[in-house]
Amino acid sequence: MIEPGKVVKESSEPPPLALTGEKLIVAILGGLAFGFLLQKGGVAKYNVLVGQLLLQASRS
Amino acid sequence: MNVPLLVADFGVNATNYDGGAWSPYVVGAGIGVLSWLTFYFADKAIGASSFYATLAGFIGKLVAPRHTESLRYYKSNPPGADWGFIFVFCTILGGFIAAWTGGEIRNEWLHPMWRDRFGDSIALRAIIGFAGGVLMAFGSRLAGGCTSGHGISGTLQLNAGSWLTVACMFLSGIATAMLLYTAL
Repeated sequence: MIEPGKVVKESSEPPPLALTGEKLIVAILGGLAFGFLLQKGGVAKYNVLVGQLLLQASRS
Repeated sequence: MNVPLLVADFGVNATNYDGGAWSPYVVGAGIGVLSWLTFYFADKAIGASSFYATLAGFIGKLVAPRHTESLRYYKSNPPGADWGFIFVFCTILGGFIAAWTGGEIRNEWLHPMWRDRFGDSIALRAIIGFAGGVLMAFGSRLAGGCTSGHGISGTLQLNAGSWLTVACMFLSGIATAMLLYTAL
């Protein structure tokens, strides 16, 4: 039987620090681009998401 | 490009409603290139679900700080403005900018396709949406990733576990959607 307390992912690395410098810029610009692309691709739309699961191809 | 439409009969047809503004092939390629860039410049993979665990940690620290800090997950993953949190926060912002600039901001509670199938009850939509969200959040943390972490970043690294996870996501998603659109 799985014991939830024992399957939690633990890391031996120190806790992550707040982002600085280049990684912060990549996180901001990358996130903006990712969200922009997802919305333009229709992934924010209910019928596109459900349509693919109903095997109804969406128009492009 | 003419793509043959495969349309199963469920009473409603998803292709009758507005789709994406851009070709999904262009968007998919763009996200693939974006993934190269995040790996190259930040040594980080695209992912989303840890955002919700972090957000829950922020709320937990406000409501029950001692209990939250005692949880093993938050000992090794203390809630903070880390990569995943900032990335997804900006993803939401990027999606808003895309919708706004594309004239797609709508003031509506129910998507027309939902209304055509399930009627006008906002409460029903809220209950199904909330229950689905809880299951998604639980499943993605249990699997260590979601459709972004496993579906994009894991599969492109040919991670066997990610391919298996994505196959299970789609199999269970297809079964659930077909059940909702036929049996209920």
